[in-house]
Amino acid sequence: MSFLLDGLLATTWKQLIMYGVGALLIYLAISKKLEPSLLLPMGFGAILVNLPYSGAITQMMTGIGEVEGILDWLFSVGIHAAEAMPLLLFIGIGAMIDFGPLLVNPKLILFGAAAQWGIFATISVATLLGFNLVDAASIGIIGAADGPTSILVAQVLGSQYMGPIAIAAYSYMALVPIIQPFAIKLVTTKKERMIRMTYNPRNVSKRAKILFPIIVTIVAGYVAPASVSLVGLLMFGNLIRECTVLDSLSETAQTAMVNLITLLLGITIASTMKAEGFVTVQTLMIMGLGLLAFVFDSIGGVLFAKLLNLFTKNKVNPMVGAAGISAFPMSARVIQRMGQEADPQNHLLMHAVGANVAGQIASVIAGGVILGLVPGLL
Amino acid sequence: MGQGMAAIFVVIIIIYFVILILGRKGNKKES
Repeated sequence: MSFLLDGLLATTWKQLIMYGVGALLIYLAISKKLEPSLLLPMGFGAILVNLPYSGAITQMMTGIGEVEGILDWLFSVGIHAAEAMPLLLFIGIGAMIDFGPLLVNPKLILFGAAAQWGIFATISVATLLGFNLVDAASIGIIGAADGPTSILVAQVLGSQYMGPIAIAAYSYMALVPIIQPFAIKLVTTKKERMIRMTYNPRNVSKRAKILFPIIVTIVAGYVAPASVSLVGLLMFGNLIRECTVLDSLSETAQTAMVNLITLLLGITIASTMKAEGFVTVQTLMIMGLGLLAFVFDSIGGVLFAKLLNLFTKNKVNPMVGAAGISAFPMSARVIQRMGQEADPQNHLLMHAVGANVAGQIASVIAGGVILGLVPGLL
Repeated sequence: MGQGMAAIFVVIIIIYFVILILGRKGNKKES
């Protein structure tokens, strides 16, 4: 009967910590509603994979040999083989996005680029802290504020820290309403936050909306070929949405497909959260660096808007620059709320939404740029 | 860091001009 105690006796203190991490993620998902669709499966998965001799992950069994676990199999075919899960998720994300506010005000796309500064600043800091370039780049991409991009880049580059990187990316995305006001107030005055911007709504032609995803894919493909799987599938989803002859496919991509992949993605990522690799000082450092990336992103966007204001007649509210991160639509809502706190008559929402969707494009391009540059530097 | 940001800005600025051209063509059609 001693086999009944085998599991109990094999439990390590690191596994106990992982149960705590799992419980914390489940608590944050349910009670605080922080990205519940990802953090809850990841929390449960963290417990599942850290049970001694867990059948959910691949084990060597006496007398049988290697027995493949479902989570390791899902990871192998869904993420490791061709990054299928995060990439397919982009079709759904593309189908959800209306690039209209960006097409009305093209200048906003520049904020998407500026707000990726956090990625590169964080890579520099991570390198200084002793991470090798592969891990530093994978950590920096948390600043893309885009969970699937973070997972994909970490996987392609072969980082050993995918679990903590995914947790940091999704947690901080959910914490944008707390992180961004803090970062923005560090670099703006109340007078700057009060700057009003006029919005001239005009219709964008259907042809422009259809051509946009096609041309962006071709441009990104030629200039940053490594980004083409990310950009291409994002834009494919958007083309399905905008062509108006595939409404049922667009609807499926936005709902059923996104839900199905999200359901499996979180628990699949949890297969990387095994105690031996997760309970380390590096995990804590990654959580800190991820936070830094989000702060740097916001500051980069704001400072770029201020720079632009030096040369333009129609001033931009610098906070709109901070909406150039990919966390959609939370970031745009934060900017609208902060604008109204400074001046109740200030309506920045449409400008912030434009910058926010620009952030979606820029973040996947940033992911592709990292994938293109880093291997050449190794 | 500079190389990465420069690459992103190059792509984004090209897309910026794409949007400008698409917008202008749309306006012409409307008028």
